[in-house]
Amino acid sequence: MDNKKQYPKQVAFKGWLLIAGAVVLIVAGLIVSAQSPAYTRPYTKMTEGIGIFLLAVGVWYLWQYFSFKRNPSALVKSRIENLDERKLWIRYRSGNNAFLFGITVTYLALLLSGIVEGSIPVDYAWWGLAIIVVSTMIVYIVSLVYFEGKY
Amino acid sequence: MKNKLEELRVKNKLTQQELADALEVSRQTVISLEQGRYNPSILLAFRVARYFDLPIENVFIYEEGSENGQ
Repeated sequence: MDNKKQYPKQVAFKGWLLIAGAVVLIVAGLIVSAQSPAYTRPYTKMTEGIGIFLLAVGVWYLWQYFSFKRNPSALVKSRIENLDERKLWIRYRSGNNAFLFGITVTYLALLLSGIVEGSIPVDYAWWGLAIIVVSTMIVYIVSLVYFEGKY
Repeated sequence: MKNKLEELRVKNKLTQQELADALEVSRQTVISLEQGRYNPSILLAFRVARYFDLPIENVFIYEEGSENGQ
């Protein structure tokens, strides 16, 4: 099967890709912050922060790749965990639920923003957006747990 | 869709984990298949049948309407 041979390569590719993206973001953040006025610092720090996050995820992928080379049974376990057709199907279905929930709530929030335009303080708007993101994630996780139990 | 997976596994003196390893799926998938909660893809169905050296219709029994619910 192609998937078998491709899987470790895909893990390594994701790792290098994330590290490359991280380096670009971190370097860009550093260069821009050195040459721009102080008020841009929060934005450049945010860029660097995203870069550091991507770097950590990329290193984790590469660590997995090298541990596969040292321990082939870890590769089989990880491949089964990530490519098992039932698990994939459950993830797709959970993602679909989260997507439907996310767009419904976003649409309702858009309608609400039209009704109350200008009357909601920025803080409340921020909390509203945060709740949409977090609740979408919760729907995804609850769906995963539910479908794992059901199927 | 019904199947004879559990019957075949027991007959061949295999544990669920051993069968899962042989088929390269998770143990939960074998459990779900045996309990009829999950219908496999045609590829996995063929892999199962080939593993037990049987025709696919001797392992999986199609029933009208069994595709519902998944």
